[in-house]
This record gives sequence, structure tokens and C-alpha cells, in this order.
Amino acid sequence: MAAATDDAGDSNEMIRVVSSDGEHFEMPEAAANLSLVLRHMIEDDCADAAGIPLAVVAAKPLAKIVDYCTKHAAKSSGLTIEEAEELKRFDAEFIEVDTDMLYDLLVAADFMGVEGLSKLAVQRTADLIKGKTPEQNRETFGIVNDFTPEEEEEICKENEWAFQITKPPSRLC
Amino acid sequence: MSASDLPDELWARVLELGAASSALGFRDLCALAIACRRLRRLSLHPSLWSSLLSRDFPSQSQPSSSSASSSSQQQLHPKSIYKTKFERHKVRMAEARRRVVFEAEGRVLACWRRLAQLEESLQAEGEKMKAAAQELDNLERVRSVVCFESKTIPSHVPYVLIDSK
Repeated sequence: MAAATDDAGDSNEMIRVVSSDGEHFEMPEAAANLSLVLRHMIEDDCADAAGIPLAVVAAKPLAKIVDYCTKHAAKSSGLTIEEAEELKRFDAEFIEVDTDMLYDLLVAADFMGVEGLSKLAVQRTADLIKGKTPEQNRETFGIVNDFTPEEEEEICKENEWAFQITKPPSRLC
Repeated sequence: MSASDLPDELWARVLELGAASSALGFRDLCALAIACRRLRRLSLHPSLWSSLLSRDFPSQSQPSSSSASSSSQQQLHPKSIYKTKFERHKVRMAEARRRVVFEAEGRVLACWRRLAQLEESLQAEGEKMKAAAQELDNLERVRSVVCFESKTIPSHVPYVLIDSK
């Protein structure tokens, strides 16, 4: 009994991280282990009371990432169907963010090596591109049209085959 | 941070995963190509179009057995190959639709013909019926005359009543 609580105590050790703008966060070690970078630092005994500094991750995205990792670490193995469903719902709500936060999460998850979150953010970005016109893409992602009018005309012509009204082949076959 | 601050590598991963997970199709990649120079370059990556090719044209993804066409295809960008296949597919689909319409029109025509035949025979039957009714009428007349002649008609039944039957 005592040994069991000791074990639980060990794996529940809190890991401190510090954002680029100096904010401190805490998460269970199991959560920190979801980040490849944090795991390596923990393994190398770099996780001390001062916290692991994350030079390129600001407080806002870091708070989200700590949330994500904590939730996923708590439900990592032996999921029931309901738990898996709940985690899916959590992910879907979690990634409902504006594009600024989405970019921050893309970069931060990639930097910290949080594979699940990285995939989630990448998929979300792809879903945002889906079905948009070039102009809508520029609006959504704040992209500046840097083609000259001549280039643009040529590029539109080059791609116009895709926009003539017809159903995509996969749905016709 | 804005989209332009995202490194190429992350954009490439978005497109790669999007194409692999079917979130992005040929039209999305073409729409991106028109958005700006960088996305044009990234959306042209051959592996993206190769994966779209094998997804949308799975039966044709094997390189052609004739060496002449396979060697000429190797020099083409997969996007061009996709475009060619797509347009060929479109033509085939249009032909298939035309064929369906043609066949349906044939069936409609056959139905019209059958309808005309039925109307014709309806008319013939009507005439036959009229003739039969006439015949029946005549027979009745004959019968009543025969009855009149062969039976002893009670004296109180006037001839007129029997005739009018």
C-alpha cells in the first residue's frame, strides 16, 4: 500500500517549465514526457526547481500545450471506447482556435516534439485550406498576393482546369 | 505570428498530411498555387501530386507497360499527369452521361411508339365493340320477331311493347 502511493508519488512529480516571456508552468512528469524535448531534458536531469526554459514558446501557447499534455497523459493507456471518444471531443474543442494561436501551436508543438498535438494542428490547418478559393485562403491566412498581374493571369490560366464545374473524380468513380 | 512566419517545413507538412488524409484535393492545391509565390512552390511538390494521382486514379497508377509512354511520363510533373488524366476522365464522364441520356431517349421513343400502337388498337377495339353492339341489337330484333311469330302472344300485350325491347 505504502509502496503503491510512493510509486504514484514518483510518477506524479511536477515538472516546471518557463515560457519565453518568463511565465512559469507546472505539469505532471507523465504530461511532460509527451514532449520529446522535455523528456530528454528530464532524462538528462535538467529539470530542476527553476524550471526548464523554453526559449521559443510564449506563455499563451505554452499554457495550451500544458493543458493538452496533462489531459492526454492522464488518459494515455488502456482507453475505453468512451474515454477515447471523450479525448477526441477534447481535441476537437482544443484546436478550435484562431489562426494566430494555430500558428503558435504548430511551431511550439513542432519545437517541443509533441507529436499528437503537432498532428492535430497540422490537420486543423489542412482543414482550414479545404474548399477555399485563392482569395479566401489569402484572407484566412493573411497571405499577401505577391504575383505581378501578368504572373497572376498566367498562374490562373495554368490552374483553371481544376475550377471548371465538375465533380472530383474520386466521387464519380 | 502570421502564416508567412511559418517555416516551409511546417507548410509542407500541412500539405503532405492534408493530401494523405484526403482533407486536400487537387482543387485545394490549385487554389493554394494561385494564392502566393511561396504556396505555389510548396503546392507543386511532386510527392503531393503523386499521392493525389494514386488516390484519385488508383486503377491507372501503374506505369504504362508501353515503354514509349512511360518514359515520356517520367519527364512530366505529376501535376501535369494529373491534369491530363483528370481531363480525360472528364471527357469520359461526359460521354458516359451523354450515353445515359441517349439510352433514356431511346426508351422514351419506344414508349411513345407503344402508346401509339395501343391507341390504334384501342380505336380498333372500339370499332369492333360498336359493330358487336350493332350485331347484338340486330340479333335481339330478330329474336323478338321470332318470339312474336312462334309464341302465342297474349292478346293483351300490344305488339309495340315487344318491339321496343
